[in-house]
Amino acid sequence: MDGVLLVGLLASGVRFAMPILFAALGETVAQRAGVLNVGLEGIMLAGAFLAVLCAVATGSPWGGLAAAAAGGLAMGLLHGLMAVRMKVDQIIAGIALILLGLGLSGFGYRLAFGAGGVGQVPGFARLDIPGLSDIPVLGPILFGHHLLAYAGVTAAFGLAWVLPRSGLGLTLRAVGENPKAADAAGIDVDRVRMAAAAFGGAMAGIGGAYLSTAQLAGFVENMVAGRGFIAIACVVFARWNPVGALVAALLFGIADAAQIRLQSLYPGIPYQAFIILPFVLALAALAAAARSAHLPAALGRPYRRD
Amino acid sequence: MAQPVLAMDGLTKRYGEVTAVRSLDLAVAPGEVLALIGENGAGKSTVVNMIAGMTAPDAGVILVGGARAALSSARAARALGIGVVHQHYALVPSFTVAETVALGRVGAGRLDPAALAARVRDISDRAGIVVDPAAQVGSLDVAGQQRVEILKALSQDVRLLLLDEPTTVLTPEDAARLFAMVARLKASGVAVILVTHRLDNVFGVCDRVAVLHAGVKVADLPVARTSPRDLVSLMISGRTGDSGADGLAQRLSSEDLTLHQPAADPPGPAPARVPARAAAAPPPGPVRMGLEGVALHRANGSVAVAGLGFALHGGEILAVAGVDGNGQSELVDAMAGLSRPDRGIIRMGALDSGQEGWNPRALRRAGLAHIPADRRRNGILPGRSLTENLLLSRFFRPAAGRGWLIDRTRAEGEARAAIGAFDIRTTGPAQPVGRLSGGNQQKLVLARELMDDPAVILAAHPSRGLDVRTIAFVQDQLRRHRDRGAAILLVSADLGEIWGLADRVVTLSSGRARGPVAPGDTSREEIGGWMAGH
Amino acid sequence: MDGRTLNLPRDTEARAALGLIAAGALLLPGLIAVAGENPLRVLGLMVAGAFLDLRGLADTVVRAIPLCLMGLGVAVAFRARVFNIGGDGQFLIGAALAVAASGWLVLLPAPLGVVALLAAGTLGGALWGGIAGVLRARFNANEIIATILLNYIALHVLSWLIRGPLQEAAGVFPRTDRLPPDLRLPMLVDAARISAGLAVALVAVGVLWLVMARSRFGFQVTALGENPEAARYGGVRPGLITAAVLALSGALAGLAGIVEVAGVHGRIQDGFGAGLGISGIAVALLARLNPLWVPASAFGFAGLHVGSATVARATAVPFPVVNVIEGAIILAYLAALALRGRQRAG
Repeated sequence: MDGVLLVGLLASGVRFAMPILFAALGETVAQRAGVLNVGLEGIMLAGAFLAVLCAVATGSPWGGLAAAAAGGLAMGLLHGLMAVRMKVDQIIAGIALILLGLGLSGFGYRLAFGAGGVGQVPGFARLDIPGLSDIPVLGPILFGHHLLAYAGVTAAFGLAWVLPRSGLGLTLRAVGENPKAADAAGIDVDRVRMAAAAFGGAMAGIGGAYLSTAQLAGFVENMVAGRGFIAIACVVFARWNPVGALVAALLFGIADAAQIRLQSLYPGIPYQAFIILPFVLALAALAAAARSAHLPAALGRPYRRD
Repeated sequence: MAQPVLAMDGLTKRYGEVTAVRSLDLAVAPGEVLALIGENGAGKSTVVNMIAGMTAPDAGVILVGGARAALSSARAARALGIGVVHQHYALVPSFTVAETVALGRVGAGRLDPAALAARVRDISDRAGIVVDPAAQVGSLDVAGQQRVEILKALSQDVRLLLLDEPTTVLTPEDAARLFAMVARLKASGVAVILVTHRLDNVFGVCDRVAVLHAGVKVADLPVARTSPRDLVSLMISGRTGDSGADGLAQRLSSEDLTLHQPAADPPGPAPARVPARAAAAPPPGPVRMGLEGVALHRANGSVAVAGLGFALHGGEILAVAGVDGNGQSELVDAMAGLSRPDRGIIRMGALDSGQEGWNPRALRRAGLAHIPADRRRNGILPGRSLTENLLLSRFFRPAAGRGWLIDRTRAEGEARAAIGAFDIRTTGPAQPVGRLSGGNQQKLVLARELMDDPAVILAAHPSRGLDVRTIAFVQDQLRRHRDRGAAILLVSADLGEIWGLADRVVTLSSGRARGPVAPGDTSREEIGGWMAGH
Repeated sequence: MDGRTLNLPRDTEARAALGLIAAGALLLPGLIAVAGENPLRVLGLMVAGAFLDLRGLADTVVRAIPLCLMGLGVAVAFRARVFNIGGDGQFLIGAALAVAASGWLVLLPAPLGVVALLAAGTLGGALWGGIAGVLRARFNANEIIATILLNYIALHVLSWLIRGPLQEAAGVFPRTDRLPPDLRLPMLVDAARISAGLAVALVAVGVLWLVMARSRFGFQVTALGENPEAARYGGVRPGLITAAVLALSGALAGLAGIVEVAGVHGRIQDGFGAGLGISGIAVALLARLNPLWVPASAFGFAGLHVGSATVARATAVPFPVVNVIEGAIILAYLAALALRGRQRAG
């Protein structure tokens, strides 16, 4: 593979990584607080759809982004309501979210756009930083992305600071490791968990928005195509570390970008062999990471006094 | 009397149809140490939770410094100067001591490690507690974790310190250190409430004692004006001079009194004392289980037991004495097939711990029974019926069914028989076990583990958390099976129980084992000293 | 706390549950109104399309057969608190393996061939579920993620198969050839196209009930789901049972796959069986993970699918409303459990 191809591969790998990254970062925070949401796929779908709908309606991708974040937040809160307040099974509540996201986005899409499709979706402009973007090799890989991509990377490093080094992080970790200790310290466990669930939902919504308005331009039913689950695999693989999640997301983004290129490079091999590459990779990562993983001790367990 | 630091007025708390605490009036003055005692289930924990802001009373008020207080949360209680050290520590193992003390007391922003450490040192200096701010909480021993809990409680201006069963898991030495600290706090004008079921604590450091019985305060008087015998009678029956409770009182109280208070008047001769062995005990039988050079590690990798060997004979009760957390649970897990030793070997019949098949099922087939320390965690299926719970650990026996099917009719018959034989209070074999009381759950576990007349019985804290009558029942069952010829390993931290049951004693302390020795050849003081690591 | 472990719902929990049920009750009519239709009319159409019209009723029964088998598989797994969400993949691999083997199976004498075909489908599903089982038992890999990832892999493997080795002889469409008539399931009700798959599903219900409620294996599954530590203490080998449960769950999904091929379509084409897996979860939950209730639950959800299709044809309400309703039903079910003070499904 020559240099130009490789640069293109890495650049689009970064782009492909972003939806997964946003969802994985949100899930990292939620899981560190003890809330396990397996419904990211549904939230991302709803976010992707809302982003297209509202970007078209407002004429700006930012309008779409805001709508996706709000929709994701609402779904995260719904999951929190079930899992944290009502203390029902978090996994089953997450499954319900998958169905809701699938149904609501498909329903809304067919209603709003019918068979005609969306047409032109206002997308995010690339942030070309004069000088930097022109650097050979590194320029196109690191620069010349959408503003949102930088926000994602910044969020990863920001969270990597917040979780171990701030009072907020201390509170989040305590709630996920030993809610009883947090309660005894005067922390409202359920409130913190609701906030974490809402944050996780909003981030998944943003991930969906990135997918439909920055990585691609438009909505197709079921377009998230497993990225929500790959994001959860990233969280586990990264052992609940935000920067690790960034690395894992990049790995999957690059694998995704590579499989598309490999399809055209090797027309003799069935293209499906390449499509499954990221999924096989995620499966391997899951098996490799899980054995030694230290998961938040109270993950998935509702907290009750007494 | 000075203005009380804390006063409870008509406090009542109900859980469903059960009234846990009824119309409680109680006050504690500055510089006073109040003991709050009672049997398990008397309502002590409920009182603690109400003072700590963890439970809201259904009726009545709590006054702090004379003003009516709304203790709606732990934070609110703390803001009023109430510090609480809970019986079960609520700590995050991955946190450092400094982070633990900071939790809930810092803003959302940056944590300053140096400032946090300085604060911990400041508090620990004042209270005279030694602890490293940078140590990880999970790496501390039980006494160290308690010191962290106390630091947490003292980390703001405390007017009242509430200690909930603080000595249960401490060695006598650590308990002495704790009481020295209590004395210092008392001298500085802090009020202390000591919730306990151990009378030595009461007579050691307390000024006044209040007794709870079935949710009602039945006594509240200066310690100097009461006796252990009266207090035990009050705890058990709610009144003094209860003759039926007297024998039990002596069995319960003598241990604590002789261990830490050799100077105190012994409560007279002990006619009701149960002999260590039945009169016509069988001679020691064949070796049923053997350990050679066994080394075990904890879940966090630290050494739990380093080099332990003994042989467990049929017809004996071998007690493993020790303060909790000194390797007992690791030992029982390994002997039950739930884990393997790091070094050394455990043998039972043809099985040994080096084999691939060292697992609970194989051992149980060979005649092992296991009464677990924490029945709620691994002894029962709370949502399932009595019948099904009696099948757990027995479902694979050929007699439990035919081929791959389970014989439900037979199982239900067994359940009915067990309910009768063990006096399990239940609505019937179909009732979910989670609805039973703790004592009845323990009887169920006992029934299950003993019903097939096992050759070896591992009994870990079999009477912990039970009421006095159930304790007597449990101990009688163990004696009966010992006399039948079973080999019994009894893990206990209660010297009274050990003296009442055991034929030989092994102590575990900080990974080191002492013994076995027969109780008749040693004294409680010596065993207590071994438990403390001497 | 003696005598106080009654899991009565706390006030906040009850309020949240009631609020949620109320919101759900408003959401659906709201969505239908957004689509510009009268909710009552749509509801009427849905019920009529699924249950009141003979043709619709037949479609509902046909649809209920795979849902019932998938639901049984989910019920077994969820009982053990093993969350097999990979029903779709197991369905596809089961169907594909059986169809791939059909060339040889057709040589067997008539009734044996069909039986062997069903067995092949069952085996395919068991193998695909078993992969997740081994990953979980040996590497502690979370089965939710693993089974979902295996769904996507299965989808693409199938996409290759029907364009490659298993494509019809004519080589025009991405689909397999029809199964030979000897390997098709006989029709029970010819006019309604209800095949012997119905009998297969009902037999499976009986067998599964026996296994779950009366067998030593079923006892271990239940114990593991109720309290894994107690199960291990009591002699259950968790890894073994988890792997076995995933294989059994997959086997039922695989059986559903080949029953769908041999009983309804006769062949595999693109989009075959899409979405049955997640509907199977809804079926199992509403049946409270009890095999005996699964057929009724499957019949209800099948009616929902058929009714939604009718509605989508006759009104402006799009078909994906069916997923919204399924999601809402699961949430309402959870809310009802919370109201009754129960935390666990089943």
